[in-house]
Amino acid sequence: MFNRFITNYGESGIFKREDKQVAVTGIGALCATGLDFESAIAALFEKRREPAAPRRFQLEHPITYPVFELPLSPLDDEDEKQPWLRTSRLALTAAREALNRAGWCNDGESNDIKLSQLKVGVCVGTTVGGTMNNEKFYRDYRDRKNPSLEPIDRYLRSNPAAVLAQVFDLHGPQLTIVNACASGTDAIGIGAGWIKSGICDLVLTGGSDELCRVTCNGFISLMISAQQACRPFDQQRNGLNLGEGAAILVLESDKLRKLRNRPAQAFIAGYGSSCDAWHLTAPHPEGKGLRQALQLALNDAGSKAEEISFINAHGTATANNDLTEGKILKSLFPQAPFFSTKGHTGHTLGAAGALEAAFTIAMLQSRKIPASAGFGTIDPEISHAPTECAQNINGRLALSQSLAFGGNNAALVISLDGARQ
Amino acid sequence: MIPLAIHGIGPVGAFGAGLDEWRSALKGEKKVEPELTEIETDRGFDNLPIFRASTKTLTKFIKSRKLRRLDHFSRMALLGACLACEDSGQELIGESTGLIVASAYGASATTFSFLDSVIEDGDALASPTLFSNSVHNAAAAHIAKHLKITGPNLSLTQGHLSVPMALLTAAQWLAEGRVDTVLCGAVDEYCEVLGYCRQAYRNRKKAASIENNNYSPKPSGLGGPGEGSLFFQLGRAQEIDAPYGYLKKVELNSAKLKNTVPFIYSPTDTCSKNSKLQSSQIKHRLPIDLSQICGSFPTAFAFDLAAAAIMICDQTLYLNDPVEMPQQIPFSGSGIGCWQPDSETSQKPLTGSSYWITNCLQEN
Repeated sequence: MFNRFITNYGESGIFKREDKQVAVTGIGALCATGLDFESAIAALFEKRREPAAPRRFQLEHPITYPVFELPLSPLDDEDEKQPWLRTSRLALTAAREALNRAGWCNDGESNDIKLSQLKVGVCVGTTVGGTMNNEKFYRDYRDRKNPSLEPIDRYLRSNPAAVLAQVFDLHGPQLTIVNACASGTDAIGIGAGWIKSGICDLVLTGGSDELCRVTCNGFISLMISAQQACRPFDQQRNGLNLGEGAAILVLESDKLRKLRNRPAQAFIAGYGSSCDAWHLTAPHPEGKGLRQALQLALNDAGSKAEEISFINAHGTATANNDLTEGKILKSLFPQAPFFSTKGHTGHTLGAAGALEAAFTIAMLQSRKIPASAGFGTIDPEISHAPTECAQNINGRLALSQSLAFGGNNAALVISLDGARQ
Repeated sequence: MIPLAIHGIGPVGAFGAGLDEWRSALKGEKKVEPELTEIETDRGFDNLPIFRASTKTLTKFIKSRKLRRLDHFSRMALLGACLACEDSGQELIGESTGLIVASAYGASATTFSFLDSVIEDGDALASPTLFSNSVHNAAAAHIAKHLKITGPNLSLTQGHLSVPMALLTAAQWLAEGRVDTVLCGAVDEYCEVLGYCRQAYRNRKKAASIENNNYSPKPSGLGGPGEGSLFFQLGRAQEIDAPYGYLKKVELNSAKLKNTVPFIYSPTDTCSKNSKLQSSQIKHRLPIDLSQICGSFPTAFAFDLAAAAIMICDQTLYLNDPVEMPQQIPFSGSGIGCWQPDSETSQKPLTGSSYWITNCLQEN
């Protein structure tokens, strides 16, 4: 019934959108601050943060590089005993919570409608979840031990989007985005496009990433991992802490949402993405690509910079990222408070954009934003300070943005209102 | 989806690089010789024909000193992208061009080289250069930098759905008006670990999903693991004539093709699965085996589309079934389909992704 949409193209071939803003009906999330969305968001307003040496694996460095690991839970069971890699299990946990919160019970039923009967897409961002890098398998292979293919089997069946589609019996498009640290933001933007154009009635979208020994060693090799708790936007910042987590949003067409009589939590109002085309690991020094992505997101939402009530920044606490990002925020949104939540969650890579979009929705709803954890001293080169304490906000629009390895930039405008145009 | 005009094609594979080489291989004029490589598994040593791609012609587009930090994976992708741009003859406008790179495994050889650096030199001396190039979107970053593409930039990995999802996303971006042109490509590389996995799967008679779903567990002697990249320069259909026709449909979970349409279903290694196809589809299947030209890898399906586009452009069917002599047959039909089965081959009816390339926008 729902998958026969008539698409409406103008003479230019450009789609005339019906649902300009896409409703978010459910959110699920887990990260170092909590194993469900409510506890994860609540902890962002506390001062306590305790990154520590990884619990599930060992790194052999003369010094400790702390990380933000998930709290102990059954998710810690050995990978070898699980059908899927941890990244996909995190995505699945978040997706179940999101669907329940959206009123889709028993893995996909609502008002006698089953998800499997609809055109449902899955669009998930990741980094580790898309990489074949099982270290034990490879060590055995190098040692000519003819290793078992079980780790390869597990990798092949663990594509995050495919796992969600399989578990919930979904038959729409499946897309796993590997745009490094912007993956989660891009996934939500592209998933929202599927609703706007009528390709899907409902989309499960977000991001997921696990802490992984290989990735930790990679970031340490780049000399951008901090030896203490990270300090986004602080003058003394000296690198990031890696983290892990997942966030999944349920996006629904207005038609389906109204049929189910479900309220929207918020709306994805605009999405913009760009590439610096500048350097493999450093952002454009003038933030050219980020500026472009932000402008595109605002244009997509039909919004102006002055309407943005706050910005959930990427804020990794690396020297380059925070400098570029801080300068652009000062230039484009001098009035809007901004903060980074990575001081609490660590940098969750492919999950970061999705977690931060989810947090942004909760903060818009509660009208309260947190202090930017780890910040203490303004950086004169940036000359723009993030929030130093929790504060109330009144606006209806906010931004969540990501910058990534490879020069990728992505931004989402999130709104509490569904009919701005 | 909106129809996509195909303005340029950039193929790179064991057959060479560029359309002349690709066309020559399709016609059967050029014999592609795979490299024989010894692979050790628990059953002993096997000699495996590997269809490797060379990127030596990349220096025609980019000075070699600018390429020194690029790995083989990124070079293949960059060469494919450069060739597609050259073939279209259209100058890219950075902000209004999107870039999509689809790959099942990303830079797998570099990923394992990074692990080599960890294992051999220790955690503290892991190589930052190898790590940077092992990240999935490194190839897209290199292409964007060298071709100055500042529009949306997407790297994706979706196994056997990587190519259809890349094309659907290109159509979405064009339909949303985000871009006017999309450079959309697929790339995968061979590495020794993948070779080991392939042989180990075959020895254990398990479905060899490590390459693509198109290999039956029983070795047939045809094809072999391969690597390569293939990029399309795509635009909206209305603007100017598309030399290679229009990609009009990309359908997922498609159980069948139009039963009157000739279609490419290239790897004859999977003929055993044809019993699951409807007889009308078998009747119209074009006898083409591209696995003998570029080998087999998860995103090789892009080459099926490129073959269909070339045949539309040349109005000639190039048939190269390994059991027959190569044939060239004039073709006056309006379109050619492509069909790629899903990896879950136990499904009944067998489902897959289908494509439909036409020479005329009005045709259905």
